Amino acid sequence: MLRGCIDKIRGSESEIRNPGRIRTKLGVIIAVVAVLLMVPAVVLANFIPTNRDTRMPPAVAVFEDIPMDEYAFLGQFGDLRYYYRADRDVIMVRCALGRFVWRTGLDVPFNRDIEDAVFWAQTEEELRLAAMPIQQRLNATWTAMANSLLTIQYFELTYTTTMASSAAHDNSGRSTLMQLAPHHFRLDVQFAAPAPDIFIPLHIFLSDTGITYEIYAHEITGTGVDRMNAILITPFLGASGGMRRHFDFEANTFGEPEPDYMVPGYAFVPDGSGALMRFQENTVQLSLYTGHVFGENPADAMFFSNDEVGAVERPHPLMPVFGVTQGHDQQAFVAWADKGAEYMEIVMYPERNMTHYNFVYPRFVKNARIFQVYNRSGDGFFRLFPDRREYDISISYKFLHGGDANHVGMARAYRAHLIGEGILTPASVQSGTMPLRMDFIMSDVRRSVLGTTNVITTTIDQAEHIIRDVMTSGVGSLNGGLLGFQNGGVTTGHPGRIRFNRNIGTRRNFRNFFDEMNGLGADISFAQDYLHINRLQMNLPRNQAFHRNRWGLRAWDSFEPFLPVNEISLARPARSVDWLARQTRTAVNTGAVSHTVNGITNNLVSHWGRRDATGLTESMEMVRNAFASSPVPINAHSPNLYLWEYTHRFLQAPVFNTQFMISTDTVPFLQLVLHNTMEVYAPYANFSFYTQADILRMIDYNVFPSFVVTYRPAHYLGNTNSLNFYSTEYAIYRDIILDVYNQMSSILSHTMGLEWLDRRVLANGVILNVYERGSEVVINYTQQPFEHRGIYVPPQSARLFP
Amino acid sequence: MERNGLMIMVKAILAFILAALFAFGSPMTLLAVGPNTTMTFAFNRRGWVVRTQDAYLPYRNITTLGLNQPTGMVFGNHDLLYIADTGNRRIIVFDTQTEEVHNIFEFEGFQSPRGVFVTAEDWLYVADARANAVFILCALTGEHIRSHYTPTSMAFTDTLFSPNRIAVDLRGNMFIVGEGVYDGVIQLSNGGEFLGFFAANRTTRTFIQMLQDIFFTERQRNARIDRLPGTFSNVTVDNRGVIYSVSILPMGNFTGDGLKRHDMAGRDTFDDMIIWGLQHVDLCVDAGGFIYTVSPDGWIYVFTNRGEMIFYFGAGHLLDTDIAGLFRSVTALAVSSAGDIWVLDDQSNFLQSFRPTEYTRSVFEAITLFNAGLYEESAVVWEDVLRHNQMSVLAHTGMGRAQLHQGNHTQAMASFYLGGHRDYYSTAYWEVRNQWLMDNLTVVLLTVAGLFLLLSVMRHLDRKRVVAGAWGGAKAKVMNAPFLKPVFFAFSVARHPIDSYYYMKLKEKGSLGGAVFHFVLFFAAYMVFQTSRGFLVQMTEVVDMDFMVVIGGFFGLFILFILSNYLVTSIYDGEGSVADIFKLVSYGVFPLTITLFGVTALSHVITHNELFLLNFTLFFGFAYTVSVLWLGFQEIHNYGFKQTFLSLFVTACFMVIAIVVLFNLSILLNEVRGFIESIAREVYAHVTGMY
Repeated sequence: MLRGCIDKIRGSESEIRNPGRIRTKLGVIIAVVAVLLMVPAVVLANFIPTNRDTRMPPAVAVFEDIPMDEYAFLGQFGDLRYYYRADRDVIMVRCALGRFVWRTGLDVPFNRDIEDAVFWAQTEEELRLAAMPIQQRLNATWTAMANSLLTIQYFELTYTTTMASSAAHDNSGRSTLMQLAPHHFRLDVQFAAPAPDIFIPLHIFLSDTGITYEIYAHEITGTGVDRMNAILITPFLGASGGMRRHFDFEANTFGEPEPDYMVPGYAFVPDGSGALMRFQENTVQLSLYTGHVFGENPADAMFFSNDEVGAVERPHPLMPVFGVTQGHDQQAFVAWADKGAEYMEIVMYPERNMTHYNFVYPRFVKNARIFQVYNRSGDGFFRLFPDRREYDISISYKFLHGGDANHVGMARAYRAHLIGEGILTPASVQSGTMPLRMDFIMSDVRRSVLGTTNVITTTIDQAEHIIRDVMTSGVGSLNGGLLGFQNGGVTTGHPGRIRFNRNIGTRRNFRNFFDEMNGLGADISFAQDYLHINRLQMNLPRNQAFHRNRWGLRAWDSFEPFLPVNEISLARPARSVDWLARQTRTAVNTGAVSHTVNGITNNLVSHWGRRDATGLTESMEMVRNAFASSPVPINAHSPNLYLWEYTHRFLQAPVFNTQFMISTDTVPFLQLVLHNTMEVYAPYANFSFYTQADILRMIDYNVFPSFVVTYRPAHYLGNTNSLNFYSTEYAIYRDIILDVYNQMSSILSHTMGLEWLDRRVLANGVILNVYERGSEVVINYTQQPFEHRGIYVPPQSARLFP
Repeated sequence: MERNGLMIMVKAILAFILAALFAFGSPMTLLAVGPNTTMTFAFNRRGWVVRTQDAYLPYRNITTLGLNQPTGMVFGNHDLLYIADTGNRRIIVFDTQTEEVHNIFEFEGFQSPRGVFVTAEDWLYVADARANAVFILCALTGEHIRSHYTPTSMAFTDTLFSPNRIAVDLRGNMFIVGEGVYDGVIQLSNGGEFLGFFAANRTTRTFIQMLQDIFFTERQRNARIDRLPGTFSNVTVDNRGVIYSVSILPMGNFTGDGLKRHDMAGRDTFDDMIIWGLQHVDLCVDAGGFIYTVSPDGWIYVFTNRGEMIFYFGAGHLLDTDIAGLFRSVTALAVSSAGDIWVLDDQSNFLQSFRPTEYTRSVFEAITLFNAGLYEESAVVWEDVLRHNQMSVLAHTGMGRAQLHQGNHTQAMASFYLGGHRDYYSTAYWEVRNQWLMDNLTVVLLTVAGLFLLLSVMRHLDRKRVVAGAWGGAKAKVMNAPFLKPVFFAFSVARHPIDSYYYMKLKEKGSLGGAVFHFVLFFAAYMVFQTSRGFLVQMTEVVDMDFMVVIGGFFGLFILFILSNYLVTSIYDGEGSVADIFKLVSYGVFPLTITLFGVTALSHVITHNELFLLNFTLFFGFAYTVSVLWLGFQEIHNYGFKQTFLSLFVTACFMVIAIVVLFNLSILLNEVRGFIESIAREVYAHVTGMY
């Protein structure tokens, strides 16, 4: 081999003696060939799933028997039997039919107790009984947390956070379970020194489907309540993994840590469209996942200005739900919050981060640190909220088994719950023609010698021309929004009133336009952002929301002086809903039959002004009421759960997730929940979402295509704040729009209105969607054909099996 | 060091401006979360960095290799990835196709293997800083071939030999980046003999450093660490044997040494390019000649083989969170034959890869086709790129170049305009103008000749000067109109400044109204000149201008000059009042007003070839105006040459002092305002119990 290496280098040396033009020409040829070959070389590779895909289901899990000695029977509801272990605060749920067993905690002894027992063991028999394996990376605090039903995080005097649990090793947490009714129990938890003095009653409701926990704000008492950072409920329910050190009787000490059997499975979190985080052992420490349900409230964030402007916007959970699956179609649970969701975080710890377990839990934040700025230079100090958040908590766990014990089953369970609550209405989407969404950027502003000038990219006549062209080319159902429809365009058009610009279209032009569109069957509406505001639009101090530290919120800062707006703030909730009401009235008077709303739909913001403070729950109610009282249906940009009841069209639905390193799969959980309850549209197919794989993803996720277009080339927007719309000209998109529409319509037109029953991974890169009446769709993302029911599905395509 | 001083200065200024604009050109948008976790940026037509279509998507995350502070990585033959697992003292051979460890080389001599390079002959070179050696192994088996330790050459005796990174050219010569070596890249022959230092980085001096050079002692100057040039961070050799290097430059070093392509003598052939980014830790050149570099915080830059930046992508934030595509501390980058970029993180101890998108493939294909001389084919692909991004400077420029080669000069002009490429635009415009002249020159010459002929005939027919006399009378009537006479007096000032200012001083000619008119006219000319020149010379567009500075500066300086001059000349026995000085200047700038209008108009019809004409006109107009004003000052204040010079010099000094004082005053007032506001907020907070 060594000789071969040496021979090769000699050979190359002889080649060097004849350098010259040949090499240059060869270089060019090789370069061209290399680039041309690059495409097929990649395309022909096998399909390797990334964390943007859904992988094959987890392996079958093997569950060990759990001793029942220490558990007391609480009751049986339906097929579910409930038991309780008082010393560790663990509830066990056993299916009477033997389908599953869950414990709310790890149910493990404290290492310190084992070590003490081993130390004091007098005989070999005592030692044998005492020398239980000890947990690696679980100290007393974490062991207490792993067992307990309830854990709190609280602030020390230095504002660092510490935990105390209801089944603590020391006196920091003590609990008593009381039965108030056959199905209603109350766990009274008293926290004391070294933890602050806090008393929390945890109400536990047992049922034939699962457990519901409730905490009422008015029942929480104690002198240390304001120091409470967050409440954690059953954090280790469904935990998988662990590492223990077994006692070495020869060496008379505990041996090296050995990993426990890791139950195959995954945690589901509603990150983007939905993410699975499979349980696995890691060789490196990966960071945990924290999802702020409904988005992090910027008015309660640590700092009053956003410092993540350079990064891709991370999706936040639109719904307060998560779950765990163990094994392949064996057992799972899904948990959702009905109260306190706006203050809820979903946290997922991967193995090797703090402990050797994978676990996911809800965290309800009561108080937090903020940076109190006291001058314009930004100097300040850290402090807690002046008053803790007062809200009730209600979170339910539903246990699933068999074919429902996966993310699809979770989605169906949650969907059923939302339908039961009246938030979603099934069969709202009728079968028939697949709709297409087409938004128009009509104008925006650029800087000029005197202030700003409108840059008009689509007039109302041009929009009409485009719509007619699309609808006469085979698109049967079309809806769209008009962005920047008024003077000032997308960026500086006032959200509260409409000032028509004759160069875009007068009021009469718009009225005629809407009449024409209604006649054509196209639902076109005004589109407006009611949250992001700037100085050129209005007086900011009178309209912007204030942070807890009483400084106006800054959502975005830039350094590009060529842009007309370099600082964007967030509006007060009261202003936003007032503008929405005013503008929808004007829209109705102009003839629009729906309205497109952005900004307030997926950003929940409170306002801490001295006279007109608006809390988060109040803000949520305000926006919901504004939607409820809208005179026209609302098309909402990726709305949070609390708006779904009043949302007619769900726009820009996420079809990816944040892609945390611990995320292994992306799943259409959101789409499974929403299917047939409203029209759900994909992100614009103009921007990094234009490939064949993306079209297949839209079919797979049952979302309809959407585009944003302009009549004039996009480079006219290059000096405006809409410069991120860098590819929009209708002339270059016309054929693409029709092609995408036709491809998708041939499948989705047949599945619209049908119940989406299941979604299975047949092979890596091959998905099977099952609908009612036996309809199936196979989506083949791979480069190889796939056979299903004796029929080949070509590579990179989808096929309907009616 | 002083070579190309002007060029370096220009590059320094441009790079500084660009670095200052290292912004995330992203307002709040309506775009939903896409498949990517990073953003891709490219230059827009005016050199700003703006967001563009995603260039690469996160692909694989390899967290199972058990790496410990890995620092170097390179693709060998058969797409095997050689990773210098420094903390574990080994080389891991990783198969990126199967995602399996192909081999592990644990040579006993390894102490801290950092740099790796694989030759076409499957020789694996390992740079080991702590072992002070370069080890050569067989890349297929890991068998030790030979080692090179500290060179024994006299020229190398004082230099520390701690090889950090290594590359090997086609002759087997080694190029080694040594720890703590500022003299350049260490070049060893294939036998290990020291051949010299190959290339070196330069330093630039800031204004403060220039002052320090004047006042500091030599010992103090030598103690300053900021005088050190940027350190080479990595070096590589492409498949043609061309050597490239990247450096980590200190803040404020704008030499453009971030990325270099070296000729045989070590000179930088990218010297005239503006290299984006100051800190590059690793680089790779693929088979197509595209150059990839990476910064420690995970920004990945892609350049053409000419050193033009195509785009760069990354996140730059959220470093505390492990998200695909984001990094904590990047140490190495490698590109597979399929075009996937692999990146190594020595803090997170994992490996990630990115896969090029359709957009990137189109861009690469278009560039490659164009470089191969296939212009028509490249134009088709550039069209596809433009479909993805209608603001792509690269695509517009590429399209323009293809059109230029095809002779479509008008379309090429439009493309170069959209691409912001003035040199090519000038070339295309020259062709278009030339074609226009070819087509219309006969008509133009005939028209001019016809007009002359017509004029001669008319003169011949109007021998009794009936028409000419009537014309002259009407003209005189207009010129002598009471409200127009002071306006037209500016012509007299421009032609006969001494006499005109004399009569103006006696208040026989000119007026305050006329002066105001010319001041407004001058302001208009100034604004037109600032905002409306032709594309070739209008370097700053209206949207980039700060009109507070442009307009405020104009009026501020004008008023300050008049007041300062009045105050100064009052001391120096000047005879002019404030009104006189205002009239003097307003009338005196008339030649410059005409020049500015003329130059603005001319700038729309010239190409780069005739730029001297524009500059000369501007210079002439400026010099003429200064002469007129000089004579005006002499006349108005009744000064001689020396007094005029002295008064203007003192006026200038007075203006500088006034500006400095006003500047300081504004800072002081701002501080006072902040102080009062802080107190008010504190009082408010305590009264309302906010804290």
